[in-house]
Amino acid sequence: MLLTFIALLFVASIIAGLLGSLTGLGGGVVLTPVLVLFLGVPIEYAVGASLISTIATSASSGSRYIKTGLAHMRIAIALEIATTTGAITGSFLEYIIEEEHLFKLLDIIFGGVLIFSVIPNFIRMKSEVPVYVNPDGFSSKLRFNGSYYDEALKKEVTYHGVRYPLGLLGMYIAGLISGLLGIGSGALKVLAMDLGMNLPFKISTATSSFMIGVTAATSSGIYWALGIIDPIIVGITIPGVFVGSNFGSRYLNKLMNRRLRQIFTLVLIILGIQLILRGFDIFG
Amino acid sequence: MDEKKLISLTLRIGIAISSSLVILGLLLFLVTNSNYNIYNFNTSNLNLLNYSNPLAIILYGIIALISIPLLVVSEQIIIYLLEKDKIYVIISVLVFTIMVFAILVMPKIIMH
Repeated sequence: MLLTFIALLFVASIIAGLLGSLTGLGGGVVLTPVLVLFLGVPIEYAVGASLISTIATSASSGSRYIKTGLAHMRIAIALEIATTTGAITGSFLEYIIEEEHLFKLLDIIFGGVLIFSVIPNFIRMKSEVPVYVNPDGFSSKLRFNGSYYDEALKKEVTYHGVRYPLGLLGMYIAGLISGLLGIGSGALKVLAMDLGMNLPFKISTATSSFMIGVTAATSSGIYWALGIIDPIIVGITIPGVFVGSNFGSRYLNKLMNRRLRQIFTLVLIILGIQLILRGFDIFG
Repeated sequence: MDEKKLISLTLRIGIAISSSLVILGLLLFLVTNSNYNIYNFNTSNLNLLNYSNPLAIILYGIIALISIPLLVVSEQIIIYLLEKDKIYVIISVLVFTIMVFAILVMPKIIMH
């Protein structure tokens, strides 16, 4: 009985890691609906497992992005002030939901956020480098500048982040959602850096991957105290998500065409709708 | 050693330590007691000092994982101190303080 559950949990985590890396959303946001809808894991435990797996995926992708120089360490730490503050707010809201047993509300919010997170996937279909904007006061003082060699465009791209306060606001919201739902909310972070701070897509994705570990770790204290980080569920999902996302990013990404990736993104929208319906007691 | 190498090495070593503890604990759990209700255990009432409990070993792995971002931010403090970059020393100390407050202090305030 337990062994069957563990085996299913492992397979579900691999699928979540695979879907997460294919859609570029990471393990966490996909893990929760997969665990809740297919395995009947209570949402609070799914959210706890997702939070921990977010730290693991951030550490593994972060090490790659730091080495290649795509993750900008200064931009990351300057924005982490806002994501960690947001994470405190979010995990406090999660605590209230736990205390008041508002798990259905959590289902609904999660479904909504899942649907919202795929939006950058569609925007991002045409990945262009943003037009260079002259640095404003904050950003030149904080040195949000850098350059990288773009493999696809075959040229050196120079960038300079702007509108730091707008970036902070976006990051606070991203941190809040992250603390509330136990996800990295990478999609929101990328939006804040791409659209808000005018950073190239590759820089914002890599910097966001590096940052989500810090955000998730900040929320982990309250999650731990609430007892929703279940050692067995986490112990199985971490290796599972690793296997899935490694496989996805290494091989499948090269084999998959854009159409197939769009289909996967649609699958996530359907999962989101299912979660919302579950929250309203219409399904499951 | 330059800063990028240091941080990326920290991340990789952290992952290796944490995942080996988690997997070791899980395997021990499966060998020793495989007929428990999963949701009976949780982090808020498990005795961390009971080394013979496989679940405690998994939790050590999780603690190691949570420490990775803390370690990275503290390394950033040191890096900016060496670079004498005042603004960034302040920023990274602030982030570190917020994290320590959220992870260690806030749960105690809320739960009591």
